[in-house]
Parts: sequence; C-alpha cells; structure tokens
Amino acid sequence: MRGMRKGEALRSLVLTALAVFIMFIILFPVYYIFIVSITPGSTLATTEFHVIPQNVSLDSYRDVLFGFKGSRISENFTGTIEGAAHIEDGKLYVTNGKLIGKVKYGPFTELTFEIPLSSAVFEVSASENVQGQLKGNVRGLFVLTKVNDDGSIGFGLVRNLELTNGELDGTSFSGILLKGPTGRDYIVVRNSGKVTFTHIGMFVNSLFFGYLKNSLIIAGLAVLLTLIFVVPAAYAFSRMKFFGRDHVLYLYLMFTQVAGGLGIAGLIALYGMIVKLGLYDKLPVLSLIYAAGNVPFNTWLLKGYIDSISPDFDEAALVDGASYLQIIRHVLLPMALPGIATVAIFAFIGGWTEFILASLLLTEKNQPLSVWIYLLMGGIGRGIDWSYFAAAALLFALPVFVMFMLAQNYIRSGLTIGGLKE
Amino acid sequence: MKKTTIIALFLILPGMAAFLFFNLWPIIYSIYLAFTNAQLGNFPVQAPQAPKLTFVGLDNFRWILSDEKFRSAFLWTWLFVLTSVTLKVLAGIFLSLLYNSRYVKGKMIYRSLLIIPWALPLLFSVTVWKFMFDPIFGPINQMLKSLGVQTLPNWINDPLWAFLALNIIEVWLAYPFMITVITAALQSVPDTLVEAAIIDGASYWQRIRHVVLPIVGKPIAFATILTSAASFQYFMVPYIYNAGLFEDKFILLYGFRKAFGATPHYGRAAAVMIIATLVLAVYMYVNVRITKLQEGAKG
Repeated sequence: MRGMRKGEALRSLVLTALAVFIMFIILFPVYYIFIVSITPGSTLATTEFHVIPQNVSLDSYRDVLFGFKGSRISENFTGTIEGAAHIEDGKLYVTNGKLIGKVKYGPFTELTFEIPLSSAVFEVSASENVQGQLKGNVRGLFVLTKVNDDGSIGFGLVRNLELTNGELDGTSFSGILLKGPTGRDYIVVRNSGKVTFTHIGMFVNSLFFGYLKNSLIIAGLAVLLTLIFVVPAAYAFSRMKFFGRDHVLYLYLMFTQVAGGLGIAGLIALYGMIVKLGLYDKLPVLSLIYAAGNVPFNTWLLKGYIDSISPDFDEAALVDGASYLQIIRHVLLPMALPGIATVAIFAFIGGWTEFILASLLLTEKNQPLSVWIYLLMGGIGRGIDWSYFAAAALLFALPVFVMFMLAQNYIRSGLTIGGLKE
Repeated sequence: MKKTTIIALFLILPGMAAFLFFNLWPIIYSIYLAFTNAQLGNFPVQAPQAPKLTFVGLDNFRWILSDEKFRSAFLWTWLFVLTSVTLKVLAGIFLSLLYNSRYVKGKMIYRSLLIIPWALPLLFSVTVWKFMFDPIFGPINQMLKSLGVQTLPNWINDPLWAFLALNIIEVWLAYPFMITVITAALQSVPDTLVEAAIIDGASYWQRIRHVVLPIVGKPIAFATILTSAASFQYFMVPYIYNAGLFEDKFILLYGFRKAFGATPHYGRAAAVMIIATLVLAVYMYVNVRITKLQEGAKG
C-alpha cells in the first residue's frame, strides 16, 4: 500500500514537472518579447539572455509613446558646408554659412539636418590667402537632445567636425574645426536650424498617438455597426419562424467556414469597388466593411446565446401586449448582455488587429496601429531596434489581451460554436 | 406574407444588406473579374494607354493550369495541410491528456495560462515568432549555437526550414482551440464508464480504444476538419512571416500577390481565388457529409 502511494507521488511529481516545463516552452516567446521590450536596445545583440533581466529600463516604451525627445540621438554624419569664407594664415573663416548633414548608419539612418552657421573657423591645409564662396564636404558627430514641434532643433551639438574636402576660389583643402560660433571647438544649435526624420525616422519620432486615434475610431465604429447589424438579426433568427430563415442561417454558417479564401477573393473586387465609388481613404468605410464581415459569425454566436434564454420571458411580455422592439429592449437585451458583450469584443478585436484591408484602403496618415506595427517590422535593423519594436507590439497587443481574458469563457464557447453539441 | 415574416425581414435586413454588399457582392464581382483581363492600368480605373478591360473567357484559368508556380502553391498547400493538421491534432491530444491528467497538480493555473496564445493578435504572435526564428538575433539560433551546432538553419529565408517554422507557428497558434475542444470532449466521458472498464480488467489502451475514443472521436473529427480548413486557407502567417518566399507555396498568398504584388493581374488573381475556394468547398462538403457537421445548423 505504501509502495503504491510512493509510486503515485513520483508519477505526480514527474508529470507536474513535465506540465510546467512544457508550459514554459510554449509561453517562452511571449515572455521573451516582454524581456526584450524592457531591455535597453543596444545591449540586445551583444549580451546573453537572462531569464530575469539584469538592467530593466522602460526607455523603449517611452520612445514608442512619446518619441525620441530625450538625450537619444548621437550619430556620425556626413554632409556639406557652404557659405561666404576667406582663408587667412592657414585658417578658414566661414561667415553666414550653412551646414547640411545626413546620418548614414545606425538607428537614425536617413536623418537629415540643416544648421545656419554664423561663424566658424577651421584649421586648413591651404597656405595662400583667398576669398569667395566655400563649398565643401564635412563629417562629424551630431548630438540632438531636443526637437521642437515645428521641426527646428531645440538643442543640439555638432562635434568632431572635419572638413574632408573643401574648395574655395579654385583651391582645395581639408581641415578640422577650430572654433564654432561660441568660440569652442564644437557648434551649439539652439532653437534654430531644421531636422527632418525620413520615412522610417518619422515612425521613430513617434506618431503612436496618431495611429492609436485611427485605431480607436475604426474599431469603435466597427463595434457600433456590428451591434446594429447583429443584435436585431440574432433575435429574429432565434425567436421567429419565417420564410428563408434556415437558408440564410446555412449561408452564414458556410460563409464562416470558407471565409478566408472568399474574403481574399472578395478583396480584389472590394478594392476596385471602393476606389470606383470614391470611398478610398475613409475610416468609416473600413469600419463598415469590418462590421459587414462580422455579420455571419456573430449572428450565429448571438443567436446561440439567445437560444439559451428561455422563451418564457418574452412570451410573457408578448402576452402583456409588448411590441417586438419593447421585448428586445426591456427583456432580451439585459438578459443577452454577456452575449452582446462578446460580440462587441470580437468586433473590437477584429477592427483593432486587421491590417491588410487597412493598408490597401488607407493612406499613411489614416492608418491604424496594426499597419504601423506591420511596417515597423519591416524597419527592424534599418532604424528600428528590437526593443523599440517589442514595446510597440506589446502596446498594440495589450488591449486585445485584456479584453480576451475578461471575456474568455464566452469567447471560448463562441469559438467552438456548434462543435460540442451532440 | 405573414406579419412575423415582415418583422423578421426588417430585423435581419441591416445585417443582410451590409453582408450582401460588402461580402457577397465583391465575391460575385470577382467571379466576373476572373473572366476578364483586369490588370494594372484597366482596373479599377481605366488608364488611356492600357488595354481595354474585356471578357477573355477561360483564358485566366487556362493560364493558371499551365502555371508552374500555381501547381507548386497547390501542392505545397496540401502538404502543409497534411503536416500541420497532423501536428496540431497530435499536439492537441497530447496536451489535453497531460493537462487533464489527475497526476498533474495545479491544472487550473496551467490551463488559464495556456490560453494566452489565443488572446494575442495574430500580427503580434507572428512577429514574435519571426523574432524567435531570426537567424542571427533569434533565441532559437542562439541556443543552437551554444549547443555547438555548426551551420545554423536560416529559418526565415531557407524554404524548407521556413516551412518547418510555419508548422511550429501554426501548432502554437492553434493548440488552444484544439485543447479546448478535446478537453471538453474528454470531460464529457463519464467517470463511471471508465471505472466500470477498470473493474472489468481493461488495460489503459483498451480503455482508450473502446471507451474514450468512441465518445471523443466526433469532437476531435470536428476540430480536425475546421483546423484543416484553416490550414488550407493559410494566408496571414506566411504573409507576415516572409511573403516573398512563400509566394509560390500557399495558394491564397499566391493569389493575393498576383493581385497586389509587383505586377498586378487582377483577373488571374481572382481566378486563383475561385479555384482555391471551389477546392475548399468540395473538401468541406465531403467532410461535413462524412461527419454530419451540418446538424448544428438546424438548431
């Protein structure tokens, strides 16, 4: 008897350990992306992975939400310099010039900036004294700590400025910066000049809230329209006997099963229709399309839910002389609320996560978060680092995760619709 | 018409109208497109120098049947259905048995945590997996490297390794569904039946074979059919993972790229989709007939 119990305990220990181990493996990717999101970006490729992160930082989240406005940019650049200048005793004096630079490598590739140069002195290789218009190539280090809203540089520095190849009145030379406008060997930029983030750079400089707004509009409207389409229909299918009822239900059911292929087939025509009707780049149209796509599955789902509410309630109300609308409003709506909430959550998740149609039918300024995440993924290694991407992706996934977890019991029964009935 | 019919039609009309206009009509429209030469320039808007949008009969279908890439996509899609469904069902059964075993302590915690992949947006999950499989930075290759593997597999760009990766991703995405269905089925097996079999001296495998399987067989068959349809319509995951590489390996992705890729030919793309849908419809119809899935529709 004792030996038996010992065997059972051992078995229990082994199987529980196996269960925990397998769960760990299955959930590892999600955990890993979370760890990456709180790891400082540059350490990712060089250091070992720690199950418990060593130095936690929320920088990535701050960058995603508010853009790189902190002391983040410190990049080598190459560029040009021009302006009125003269050479005197091996020194090049530039007055009223302009410095244009472009970052070639690193997370801010393609960032360009333009700085007016009131005065600068270079030590150059030329010996004769000439005067005229300077044209030259430069390289150096650009440090940017603040960008104003209008795109001008709030505060920045140009260090290690080196004139690689300058030309002035027929003589060519090279040299290094001796004195900037402030008399030091660097150039200080304060509330002047201009900095432009290009395509990927613009993403980097966070438009998160803009995309969030688009996502909320699309998903919110999709929820509203879905409820308008689904709730009355589900009631009718559940409670009324009418001509064509079974056919429509069957059509809906078949449609939910082959929707993937048909949906993409329809995409081609849908794209054409939308462009022809002049509805391209309109957020509400996208919501309408999503809501229409939600009709077959969610009508089934809610019909199933209303089926489970005893018809005694509405029959009693009908006897009392209530109209159909009154029955729906005062009897069924409150009782079917969990089912309706599930439909609403489905509609929200659908609108929030869809990105194929959104990228086909919207221009950049109207695109939602989902499209942004997809585009960000293509930018990894070219201006986007993994921790930034991980933070953005997690922020994108969070609302869906929370909603799913809140409603998971209803959703589970919805997703396995009809399947468990004998 | 009866009064209830009128009221019912009024209630289902908004949803029906939206469904018909935005779901059904585009499909009918794309069936029409499949018989035309719709391509970049004459669709959706006719450009002056482009060939006129005309009816071309079965040309697109003839072109598809002679297209090497389509044949490849068709075969690979079925291969994927075969491999991924096998893996999904096996994983589903294994995980359900494990997380229902009376020897495992704390089952409720694991089950509620294991639902997580289901709760995450597909776009998020696939990008996470793309990171996991990254040939240089990805933890999988890092781990292989530390285990001493010399030539690290390129999970993103090598067709076979990437195909394997897709299978893994699909199992990961689908197992919550499989577990939910199979667990519910397992729980519907009456304990008394199993106990009676034990008393009669049936072995573990005999109990599984003669008591459990007849009861859970149908829900598992149901889940298998649904999940195989999902595998056949695999589009989002390969599209996000590496659209270029899988262009000629998944039939829907192939059709999509024909329409929205580098050289759009909408007519041919629509024809690809129609063929894919017909194949799927036949497949589903046969399966539904075999398992009497449509009984749910009479509810």
